[in-house]
Amino acid sequence: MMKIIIVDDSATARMIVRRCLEIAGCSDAEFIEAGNGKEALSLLKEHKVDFVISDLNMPVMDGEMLLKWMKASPKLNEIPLVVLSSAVNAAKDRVLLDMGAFAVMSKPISPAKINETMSELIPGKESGYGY
Amino acid sequence: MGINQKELKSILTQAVSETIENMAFMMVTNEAENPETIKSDECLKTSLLILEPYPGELGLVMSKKLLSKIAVSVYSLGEEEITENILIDVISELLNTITGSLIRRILPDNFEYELGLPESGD
Repeated sequence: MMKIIIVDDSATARMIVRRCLEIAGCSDAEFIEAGNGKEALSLLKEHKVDFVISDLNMPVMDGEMLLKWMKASPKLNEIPLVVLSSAVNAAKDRVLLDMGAFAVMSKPISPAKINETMSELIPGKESGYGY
Repeated sequence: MGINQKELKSILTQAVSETIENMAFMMVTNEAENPETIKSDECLKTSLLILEPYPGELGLVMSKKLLSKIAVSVYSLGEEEITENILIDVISELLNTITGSLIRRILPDNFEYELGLPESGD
């Protein structure tokens, strides 16, 4: 069973991400939620996860700092981090991808966007079949 | 990079439609000919600062009734289970997403931008 951490300070946003991931092929996954980057790092110490999907703009620790911490950690740097944010465009995409983000998506999320951007992370989608 | 009022209204409509359709699976139409009057105590307001590249602020006012319908759709809860905190979170996330969608439609792709965090009140 896949394990996925969803990081966003908005409970609404986390609910929507979860729903879209379920529709896109992760209906059997275990979802763990964090309200900011610092909480996500604590959870990453306790759980072996398949990937992290994180907002950028969050209090306490933002998504960019979370990405930096994960990439700097020998234990965490192989875990894919997908950025999902309202504050991204082509310019920001390049910065985040150069920092090591697996993929970058702009809000609002949808199952179609998930399949376009991160299908390799979804079980059964690695071959590129639709949902 | 000039945008006139009509273009801005069209871009804003697209941003709002995209957000609400994807978040709440609801269709969005332009304002009704005889829009309903909503009392201020039946609304929630939220605002968000645009920090870069140009300072600005966006605000969103919505009726609690409509927010509640959206919350029911997002959370799959009964209306009686929707708390004020959930409504505040929903309107904040709506504005956050609308703002990003709006700015991406206005700014050239090579401009980075920075947004504040939504602040809500009655």
